[in-house]
Amino acid sequence: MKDPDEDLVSRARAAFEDSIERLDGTTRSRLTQARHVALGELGRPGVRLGAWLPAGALAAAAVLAVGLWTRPATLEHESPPSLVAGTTVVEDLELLAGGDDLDMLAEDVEFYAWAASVMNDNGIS
Amino acid sequence: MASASLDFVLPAVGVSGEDAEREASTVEQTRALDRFLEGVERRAFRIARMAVRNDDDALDIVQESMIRLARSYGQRPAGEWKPLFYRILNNGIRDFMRRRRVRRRVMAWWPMTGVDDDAADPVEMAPDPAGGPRELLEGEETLAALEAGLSALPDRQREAFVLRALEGLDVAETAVAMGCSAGSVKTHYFRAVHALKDRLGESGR
Repeated sequence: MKDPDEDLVSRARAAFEDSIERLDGTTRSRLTQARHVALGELGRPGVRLGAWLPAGALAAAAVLAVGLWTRPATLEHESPPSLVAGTTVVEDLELLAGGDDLDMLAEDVEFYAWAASVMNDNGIS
Repeated sequence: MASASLDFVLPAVGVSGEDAEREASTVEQTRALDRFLEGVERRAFRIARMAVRNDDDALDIVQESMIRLARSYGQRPAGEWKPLFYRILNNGIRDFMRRRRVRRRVMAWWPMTGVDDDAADPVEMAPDPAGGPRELLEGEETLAALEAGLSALPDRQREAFVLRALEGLDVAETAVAMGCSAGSVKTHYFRAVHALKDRLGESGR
């Protein structure tokens, strides 16, 4: 008898492969352009923001990000939307655990600074 | 086809000795990377698209992933690229999702909740693609159901399923791509399969 898990995987894989074959010309063209840009970067050292950002800024961004996830919704009238269905806080925190993620987090300092300003403007500490 | 498109990135070859060898090596590495990226770019786009559900965002994530691979790992042996690329891609998707979630939470505290600039994120508000007319008209019911099912999974489960079931990475490669242990991969994959079963079992036939 056919394994139901295998059946699921087979159908999912077939749908996925089919969607790739049917990818429109515009998207294919944009992907080709993106590839050419990437090939031009071969061997070119990237700018690791973590290397020049003050350690404090990176840490503050990380703390803020964690706070935004873990802070309970206690303010009056607020009803923060729940995280994506099925996602737990632990899994969200897991996003921050990897070293590569911290590198990316450095690139988001401006974004998290904006988030912090919103919270400060609203007297949220 | 691929080689013809590389003229603008390949260095001119007209020197001798060690420099010539080095340049020939660079040319070969560039061609190898071109072939690799050409082989994964559409798949990567689909993976990113299933997660973020927006073409432009998915394209940005894929392009950034390609650039990161080229810059950081382009000189590595080609055999190492696949799990590294998918790790970078996964991180890019996670990064995007993280910013989206934080933005949601911040906007929930915003005093003028009725004037939500970021409400223009129509993809997040879009109805379940399984019920969209375009997908149905194009006969994409299974894909739509798959996308909807995957979007409802926790990130790690979605990653494990995509990498194992759709991309065909083995457990060890998936572990590298996800940055976790082989045991975690198995757990996430098992849960993902069973979470998807009901949805695809009903609508994917």
